[in-house]
Parts: sequence; structure tokens; C-alpha cells
Amino acid sequence: MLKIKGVYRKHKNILTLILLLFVSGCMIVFSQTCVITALNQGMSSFFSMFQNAFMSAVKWSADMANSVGRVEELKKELTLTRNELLEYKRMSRDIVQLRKENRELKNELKLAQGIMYDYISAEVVSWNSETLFASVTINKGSLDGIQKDMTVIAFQGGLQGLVGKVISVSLNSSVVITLVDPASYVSGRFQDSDYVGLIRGRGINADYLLMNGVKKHAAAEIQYGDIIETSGLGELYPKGIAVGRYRKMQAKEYETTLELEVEPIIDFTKLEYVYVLKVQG
Amino acid sequence: MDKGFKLILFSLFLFFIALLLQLTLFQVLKIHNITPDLGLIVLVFIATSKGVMAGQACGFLLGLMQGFAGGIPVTIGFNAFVKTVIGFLFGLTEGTISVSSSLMPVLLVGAGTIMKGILGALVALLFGIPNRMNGDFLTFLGDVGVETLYTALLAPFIFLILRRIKYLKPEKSEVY
Repeated sequence: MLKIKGVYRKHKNILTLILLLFVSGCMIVFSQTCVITALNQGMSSFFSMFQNAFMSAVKWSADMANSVGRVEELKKELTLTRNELLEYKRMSRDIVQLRKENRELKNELKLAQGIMYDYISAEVVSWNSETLFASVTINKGSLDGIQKDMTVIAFQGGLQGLVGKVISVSLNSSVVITLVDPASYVSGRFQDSDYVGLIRGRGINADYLLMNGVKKHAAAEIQYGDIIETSGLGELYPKGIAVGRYRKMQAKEYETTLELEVEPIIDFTKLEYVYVLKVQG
Repeated sequence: MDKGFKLILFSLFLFFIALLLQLTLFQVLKIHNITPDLGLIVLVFIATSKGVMAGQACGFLLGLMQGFAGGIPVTIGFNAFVKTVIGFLFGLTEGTISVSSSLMPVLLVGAGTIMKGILGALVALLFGIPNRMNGDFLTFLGDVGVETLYTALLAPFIFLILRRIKYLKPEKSEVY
């Protein structure tokens, strides 16, 4: 016995190795025995318990991370959708505006077909009422064939009315002095009674023009609402373009002529499109 | 309590932790579907610091534990066999290798993982255990390569932790 113990002490490492390998070998050979299988199942279940717990925790963490990511994604989508909505709203407003413009242009076109002169259509781009002259700038210039002193008309409420005349021309734009400018003079004539007079502007803030020089006896014939058109005298404007409607008389006993208030055909505050007639005064 | 028995108990605890990490955390950190053999890193450290007896005993226990966790009965003895031999062989280097550098753990564990592959193949051949080498040898070699790299690269970090544990201080002085 002592001899065996001595041998073991001397070669304990090798002997232990052999013993352990032998046991391992046996476990391989007898791996299908019920003891090893039951042990294996028990231990495997034990470890799988930890695995499941860990995987659940990992899944939970991943879900949380994904949820946070999803919230961020939704925020971005919301911002994008809001921007798109704003864009659609803007487009909707533009469409309404375009429809309105289209309708107006169709009307203008229909009316413009009744103009007896060649013309150049233009759009009012700015209103220069703050300057010395009550003038407007249109978007057509010498490149489009506009020349100084050309007559400018417009259509409003189905009627053709005088706007003014071109006073300066540049390449792509022109300035038109309007009837309401105090420096503007037009020779006018009652359409029905042929009485003539001189019409001048009173500024953009006055809602009427003044017509002077109408003979006093005309008072018996003229009526409220009579149309006054250009007479063609003085060759400032072509003949027959409506200027305004007679509204009120300012008769003075000591004067031999009448002073009449004339309501312009064109509401200059609503002026958008004009036609420049290829006729110079 | 006997010092050797304490070491065995503590090693079992470490193997358990390593196995848990391997079966949980490293399941989501797989590279090419391969997890590192963390238990092997611990075994190499224990064997090189505590010698042959501790190495082979711990190898045997580690093999058993990994076999049981694997859920396939034949792998219990198989793992125990392979890890016992690895523990024994690394135990022979006790006191001759310094594990304080970063490179040495990589080399030791790399060698241990390759050894595991070779021994595993031999044991499977010896006992007639059906294994992946039958007709899929190249893939097997590739997987051994990935496992070797992955395990070896983790070794310095785990060695760093293990070196701080009092129970695992080397019995013999290391050679520097």
C-alpha cells in the first residue's frame, strides 16, 4: 500500500492525467447512458435559463433602443409632413391665384379682341404714386416695340378705358403717366352730345377727374352717367376711347363754361393689365 | 480548507462566469457565427500559473461544464478529454513563461485554441464521434482560425483581470 502511495506521489501528475482521460473516455463511450443524459439535460436547462434571461434583457434593450430610434424617425417624418403640408397649402393658394389670373386674362383677351388698333399687352409691375407723377411702370419696353407717347388703355368691368400715355421707355419697361396725375390733360367729349372739354387729373387720392371748358348750355343735355371719351383733338390720344362718366356739375355763375366731375372708367388702384396702342398722340 | 480545493472551487466559479458570458453576451458578439472560448483563456492562465495538477484538474472540470452546457451528451467527455490535455500541457510551462506582457497571452491562448482544434479532431477520430470534419474540413479550419484569432485577441484583457486575483498568483516565480 505504501509502495503504491509512493509511486503515486512520484508520478501523480501523469497518473492523474491518465485517470482523468480515462474518465473522460468512459464518458464519451457511455455518453448515452441515462445518468449522463439526465445530468446533461439538467445542466443544459440550468444554463439555458440564464441564456433566456439574458436574451430577454437584450431583446428588451434592443426594443427600447429601436423605440427611441422610431420616435426620432417619427419626429423627422412629422417635420417633413408638416413642411409638405405647408408646401401644399402654398400651392393651393397659388392655384387659386392662377385661376383668378387665368379668368381675368381670358376676359381681357375677349375684350382685347375689340380693340381697333394694334396693341402690345403689358402688366403693371409697380405703381409710382409716391413720386412727383402719378405714374405706373409696365413690364414692356423698347425691345417690345413700346415708344414714347403711345396711348395706354385697360379693361375693367367690361369697358375699355383710357389709362394714360407712355412718358419714358427703357429696354424692358416703360413709365405710363395716368389720367389721375395732375399734370395729365386729355381732350374729352361726351359720347352722346358731342360736348367737349379738357379733362385733368387730381391725384391718385381723388376719386374723380375734372372736366373744364364745357359750354354752359350743355348743362341741359348732359345726364349723370354719360360716357366721356377722348375727342382726338390735339392729337394727344386717339379718338373714341372712354375716359369716364359724368358724375357732378360745379357750375359757377360768373363763368361761361362748366366744371364737371368725371368718374374714371378705370379704377387705377386695381390696375393690373394694360394695352399699349401702337398709336402715338 | 485545503489550498488546492479552494483553487478548484474558485476556478469553477470563474469557469461558470466565463461560460455564462460565452452563452449570453458573446452570443450577440459573434464573429462569423463563432464565439470565443473564454473558459480556455482562464484555463491557460490557471495552468501556466498553478502548474500541471491544477491545470489538468481545472481542464477536466471546465470540459465537463462546457459539455453539460452544450446539451449534447457525447460532448461532456469529449470536452473534458481535450481540456484536460490542454491543462496538462500548459501546466508544464509553469514558472517558465511570463504572462505580464500583452503579446504572451495572445500567443499562449492562440496556441491553446489551435491545440483544442487539433486535439478535438484526434479525439473525435479516436472515439469515432461524428464531427464537422467529415466532408467539411476547410470550413472547419476556417472556423478554427476565426476562433483562434477572436479568443487570442481577448486574452490580454482577461489575463489583466485574472492577474489581479490573489488565488491565481503563480506558485513559482515567473521568468522575465
